Amino acid sequence: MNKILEVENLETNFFGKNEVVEAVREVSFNIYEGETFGLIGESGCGKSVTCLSILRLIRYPGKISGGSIIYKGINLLELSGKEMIGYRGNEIGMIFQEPMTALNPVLTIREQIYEALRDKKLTKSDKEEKAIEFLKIVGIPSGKERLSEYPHQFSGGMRQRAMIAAVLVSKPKLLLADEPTTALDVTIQDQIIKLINRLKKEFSMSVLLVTHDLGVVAEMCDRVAVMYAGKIMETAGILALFGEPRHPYTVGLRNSIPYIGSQNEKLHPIEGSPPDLSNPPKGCPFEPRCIYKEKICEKILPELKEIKPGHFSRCHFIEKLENEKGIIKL
Amino acid sequence: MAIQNKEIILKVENLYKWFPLKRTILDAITKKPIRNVKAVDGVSMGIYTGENIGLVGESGCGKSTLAKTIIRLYEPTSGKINFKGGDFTLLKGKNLREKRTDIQMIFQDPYSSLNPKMSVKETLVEAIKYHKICETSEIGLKMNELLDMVNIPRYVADRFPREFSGGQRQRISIARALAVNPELILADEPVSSLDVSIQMQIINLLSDLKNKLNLTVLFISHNLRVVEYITDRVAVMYLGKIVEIGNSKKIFDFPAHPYTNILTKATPVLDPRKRSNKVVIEGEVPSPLNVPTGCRFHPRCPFADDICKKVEPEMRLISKDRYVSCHKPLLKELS
Repeated sequence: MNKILEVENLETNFFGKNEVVEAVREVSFNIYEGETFGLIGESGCGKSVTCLSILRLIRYPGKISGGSIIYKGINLLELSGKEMIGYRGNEIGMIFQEPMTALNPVLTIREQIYEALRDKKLTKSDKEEKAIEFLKIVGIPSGKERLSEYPHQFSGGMRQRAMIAAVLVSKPKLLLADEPTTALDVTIQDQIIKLINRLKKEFSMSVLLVTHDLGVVAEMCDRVAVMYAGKIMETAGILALFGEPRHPYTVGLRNSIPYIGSQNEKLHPIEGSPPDLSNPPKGCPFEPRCIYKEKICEKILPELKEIKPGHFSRCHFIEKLENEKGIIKL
Repeated sequence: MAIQNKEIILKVENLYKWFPLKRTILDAITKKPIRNVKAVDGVSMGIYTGENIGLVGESGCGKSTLAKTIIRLYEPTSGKINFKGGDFTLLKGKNLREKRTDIQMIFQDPYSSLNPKMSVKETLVEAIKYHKICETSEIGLKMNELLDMVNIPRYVADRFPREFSGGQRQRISIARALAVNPELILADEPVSSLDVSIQMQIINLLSDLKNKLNLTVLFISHNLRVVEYITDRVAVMYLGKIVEIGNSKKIFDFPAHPYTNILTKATPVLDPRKRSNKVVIEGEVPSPLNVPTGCRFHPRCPFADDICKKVEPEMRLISKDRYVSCHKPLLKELS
């Protein structure tokens, strides 16, 4: 399979008055054509910033300070601003968590979808036909009437569908989905998950899914990277991640959610809270909360080591985790 | 966690909370009927002393309104709230203030439910002083005790909410609720705004405190996995009404109401091998302004027939301590 996106040693920093927040620190991963790659972690771990960095949407005082983002062989970080515009939307589309804030409240859905069709030299009726077609694809009936409505007239689920339609009209090859279902109810979340899974196949897209919800990951992803404090801690295939997690943080996440088989025992969540990224720890960032830590962890950051083909973990003591159970039995 | 004594601490009977929509002068002249948002539309339920009961349902189904009406932050439109054998609905002024210390609420968003201009100490002491929980000389002691209970170090008592993380703020909210020695805690989505690793810390803290202080907890959440994990019983709400109530484990393993079934199915399974492409239920919850006739779930129910369209089902007992309001429950009889 071909790689559609290669992110190599990406670093994104935010420069405050007195401090620098290192939001993304040497993050590397690949996305293959046709796969859904998950980026999971808790708020503030840098997953959304990674996503925005790919589209080069990091604004002042933030800055991409290093690394490369290779999309289909071209380093996006070396493109001029004008060239980059050609990639946004047309090649790489993005959907956001809160469709109410991502859609413009004073424009009708028609105007927002037409905006994506602006440069395509289409007549008005072509555009309308296309917009209605895409609303139908994402499951919004009577598109003709709904095109003239504003985002506030749509329900949360419908707004998310409308946003997906506005992104899809440009037929991107890579879809960045930043917590697309977090603000939705379970039944609507289920609809949107299945919609994205279906569209991925229909439009032969690759998807980068950013989420904190292991349930959504289980429903959508092929491979997953677990992020913590701006760094990737573990990368694995979906079954390996659920079956044999090999990083203390991933194991801790498993211990933080009730699942079948854990109902009768007391769960032991990770203690403490994530580190402050304006002053990231020198050694392993998870060290203060880790139950396997030893002296070395405080001082030296472990490398991301390949422990099995395709399964990487950043831990000094991977062997201690060999008997850790996963959520599922493989 | 079995319920030893089946004493009822709180009983709600036919509780309604409707919010009337604003009428324009034109509406009044043309005599258009007043339209109501039927947030809580006839709820009857009991909470046993010492139990942890869950309340689940999708957003807008009236979970939070029910909790706020129980504690009388909203005045009920009609219906009765009976707390420890006394009528809570008609209490006013001083009596209400006194009784309210027995029921306390924890809110979803610890960022907006703590006063940003008050330090932790001020927040806690305010509640203690106002309700005269202890002697003035003992306030400091009481405060330290509260901070210890929720694992907030004593030396941070002078700090302000902005200096704490979300999880810590929620601990402070819990301490504030406990300051007045309540018996019943209404926890309205206490962990939904927190990170996964912090969520379970707070949940474990709540259940430890519940056992230690003999509290009764109504745990409102939309996360079925968490509710199944911590609660003894659960009530499922849909469009202002409770559709099913009973033992949590039994309800989630064998749902009797089609809506409960759909909720459990829509919750992602934590097993990538059990993925499916089939959408569990199409469409969305109807507006509480226009509640469907008959069974309010019938337009979306895969099993609905004529009777469901016309007749609103009664709540009925289908097995021990298990009530369902459905004409055609998925479980007929359970031993």
